[in-house]
Amino acid sequence: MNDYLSGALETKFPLCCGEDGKFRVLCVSDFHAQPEERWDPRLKLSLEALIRAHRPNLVFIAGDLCHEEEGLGSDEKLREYLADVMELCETEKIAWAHVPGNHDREDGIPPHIFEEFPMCLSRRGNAELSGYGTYAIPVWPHGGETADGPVCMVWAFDSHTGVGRYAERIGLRPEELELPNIRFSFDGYDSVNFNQAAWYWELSEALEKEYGRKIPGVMLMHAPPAEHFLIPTNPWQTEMSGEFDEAVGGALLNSGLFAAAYERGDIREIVSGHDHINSISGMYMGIRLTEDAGLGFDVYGDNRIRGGRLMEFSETDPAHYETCHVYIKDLLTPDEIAGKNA
Amino acid sequence: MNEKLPYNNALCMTGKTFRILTVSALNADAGNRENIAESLSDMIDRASPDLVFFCGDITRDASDAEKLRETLAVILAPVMERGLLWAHVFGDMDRVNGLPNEEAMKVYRSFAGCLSETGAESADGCGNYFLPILDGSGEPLFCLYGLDSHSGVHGYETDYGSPGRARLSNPLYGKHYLDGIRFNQSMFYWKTSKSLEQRYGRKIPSMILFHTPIPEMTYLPMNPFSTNVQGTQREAVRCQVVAGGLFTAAIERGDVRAIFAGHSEHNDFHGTYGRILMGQMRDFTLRGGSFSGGTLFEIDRNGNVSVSKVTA
Repeated sequence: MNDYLSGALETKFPLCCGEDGKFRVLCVSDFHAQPEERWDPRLKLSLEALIRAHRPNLVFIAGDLCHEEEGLGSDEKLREYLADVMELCETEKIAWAHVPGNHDREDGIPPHIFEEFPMCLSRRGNAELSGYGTYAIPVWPHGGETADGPVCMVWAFDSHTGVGRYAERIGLRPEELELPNIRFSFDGYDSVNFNQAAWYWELSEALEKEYGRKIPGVMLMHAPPAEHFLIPTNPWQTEMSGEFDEAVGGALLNSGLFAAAYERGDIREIVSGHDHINSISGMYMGIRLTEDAGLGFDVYGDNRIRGGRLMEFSETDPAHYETCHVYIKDLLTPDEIAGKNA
Repeated sequence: MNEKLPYNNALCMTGKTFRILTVSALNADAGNRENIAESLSDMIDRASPDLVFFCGDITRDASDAEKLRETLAVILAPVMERGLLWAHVFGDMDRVNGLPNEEAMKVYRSFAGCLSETGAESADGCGNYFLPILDGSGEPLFCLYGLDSHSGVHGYETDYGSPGRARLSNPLYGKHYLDGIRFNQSMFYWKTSKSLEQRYGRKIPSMILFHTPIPEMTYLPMNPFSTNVQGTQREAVRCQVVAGGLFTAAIERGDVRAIFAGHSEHNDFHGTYGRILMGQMRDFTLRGGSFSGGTLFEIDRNGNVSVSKVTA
């Protein structure tokens, strides 16, 4: 493995398939802990129920862990929050990772606090990329790292905030990109930028060159790329499943991330959070596009679909890929979900 | 004809500006090519360009190399007679004529003054290339990119064996199911732009020309005041259906001053979005057989691009 690849694939510890030769990632999002009050205990109850039921090898939090940009007010409170909510992962030695959402920015939720947790694989990523937290996690066979290459890849992307801030990052004024009339994004969200899509493209090419095959993967992020909008607007052609109860907060501009994934041909699914009461999932050009619905109770949500996305790869069968929405309503009693036992 | 170019390949800005006369959709065939040549000749005299650029949909009868050669010989005559350099990109109609673009490119390149290149292997299609415009001392002042925007989106489906159709009832960017600038072509621009900066220690101001509009071009007529739209828009901007990210690549690199496409019978507008001058150029040959004209880009030594119309 050359320096470029080994640097790009570096993780705190190797993430491996389970004893059954399967790798499962549970993607949850939108906890929205508020700075002025203690987080709702149903978040931890729900997350632990999902983990115990579905035994993921990686728990991935796709953004908006905190509601306010300043986080929870102090590093200590954030540390306490993560230690509480992620307790099961830490005690049971289950890997977890996250990307920031539009609500939590790196100045509000300092990444080094995440990295302090032994089981957390979140990374700053390549410093040349915009934002904080665009990185790749290789998944190895149960036996550990091998010269045959990873079983699959988890691609994590910072999807930023609004298009005005995107403008400022690249040296433009917000009003040079913000527009009054936009077709499919109700307030001009940002998403994954071109430099991040280019990073994926080059790393995906390098992986194929190194291992002589395409390594299957999933892309996880907070705010969806514009193509997610195609699922609810074409429900029959995309074989849409899940609930669609709010507009897809899609990106005003399109960095071509979907096209990059399609042309590379190694991405099975692109999962986003951001829209709390959507659990939509559908196929477009061979790639599944999904929203995982919010899990947190400190923000609006929908108990009918509260849960996450469970995805599974196999170390013995590269074609194996299964994915479904998993619900807390199947795991907790109505009273527990309503918070009546608290 | 000679495969070798009788001209120096590098473009040079000797005066205060560099002028590119661009025509889109000549739609030339045996019936109209003499009239096109006559009109082009007159336009060249009025515009006095340093480069003539054919922005796709150039001929209608390229069913074989000989027919293409005959038509090109007529329409290129006014360009070659004046010893002018020229370049082209293919449009969606150039691909469906019967002759593969790779074969057609050989015919184009056999004419004097042709700067078009088959181009980067890493980029899909035929004719993804860049042309530096140098000052007297050989330093680049500007860079012109030509990209192949392909034809219908079925080509994008079959090239990558899509198990699902790109064509949905409600697409993101209009229902015309066109292919366009793919992600790997955006990467060609991205990498070229980065290596030019690395080599010269500064960003080289650039313009990108291709035939089929990119999605962001549809934002301009929807937001005419915010983007200061000039010109006319009389039909929906028919753009590619799956976005390839070229616009975001351009604004993140920050060296692109203008992006123009054609592919419209009726639209002739431009505006500014993300500090990039963008627009759609009207077909030269209209459906009734009359000619509309072309677009003159004038580039100054600081890389600023101004645009004006040249009527037929």
